[in-house]
Amino acid sequence: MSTIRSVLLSAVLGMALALAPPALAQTIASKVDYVGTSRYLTVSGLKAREVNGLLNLYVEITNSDNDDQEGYYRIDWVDDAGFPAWEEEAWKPIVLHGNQKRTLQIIAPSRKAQDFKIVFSGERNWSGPTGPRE
Amino acid sequence: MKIASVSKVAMALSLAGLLTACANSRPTVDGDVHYGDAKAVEKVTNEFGSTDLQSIAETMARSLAQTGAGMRTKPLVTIAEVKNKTSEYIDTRAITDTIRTQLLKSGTMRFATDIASMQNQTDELTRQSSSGLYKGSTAAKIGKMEGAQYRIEGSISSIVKRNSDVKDVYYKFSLMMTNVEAGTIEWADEKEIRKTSPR
Repeated sequence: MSTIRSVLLSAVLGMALALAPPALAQTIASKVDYVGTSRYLTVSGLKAREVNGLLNLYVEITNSDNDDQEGYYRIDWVDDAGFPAWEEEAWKPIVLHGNQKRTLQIIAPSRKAQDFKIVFSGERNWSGPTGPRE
Repeated sequence: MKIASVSKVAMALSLAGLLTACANSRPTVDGDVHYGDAKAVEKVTNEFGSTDLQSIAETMARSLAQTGAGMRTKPLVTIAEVKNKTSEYIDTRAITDTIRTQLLKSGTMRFATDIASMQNQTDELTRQSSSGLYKGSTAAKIGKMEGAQYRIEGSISSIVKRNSDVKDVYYKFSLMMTNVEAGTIEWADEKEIRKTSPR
């Protein structure tokens, strides 16, 4: 059952990867909650699979700036009924060097966690709602 | 004149009355204390902090849970000492307590009484079985405790470097799980943290 699940999950995300970038961005966007509008750091890739009943996430973060940028992330885990599967996690800092891509490997806290939302806060945000203030 | 000033005072009082009637009183006893977010990233100083404790405990617990989930039966584990090899005061028990709590909540491992709690455990067992106060059928019997199959121990060390501008602190937390009977190390993981601040 878990093999079928992991095959299905990677098929869905794999298909998303095969599509044109805007569609992929939309798939990833549905799994990420940005706190503010992160100016330089974005979640650019996402893969998930089940290993021994625990969800394993591989989250790629990209820095579009030439300088070091810091961001903070945590995961909201949800069970199959949509209820929180774990307590609020601690915020974890992440530093990316100029134009770096980093992949975070995240393991779910328990087998109850069947779905997730990545909550991401860039230290530097756009000042306007979606872009720089003119 | 007097009547005019009285009416002014009356107006001011009624206005104040109106304002206080609109404002909702809060369930607080006012003072200088502000409750913060216990999960926030703490950047007060570059010494070992709450964010370091939380991120170490989370990384270790998740890695251990992944290993525990891969075993045929839930392993019975005990936490031994985590040595503090840094020059700072770090409560390593706080880290291992959080790891144990998260693992118990995850349901991937069972924990046996550790050395620190053993005195309380034996006191309670002795009281129940030997004091003669407890009903025989409900009293806990001596000689039935389960021995741990695995022992978790580790250490935290740090490297501190300073120059005229910058202080850089690097922490390395290492943890390993040893099979008690065979003496083999079945799992090991490390967490590295770097904190830099102006000198």
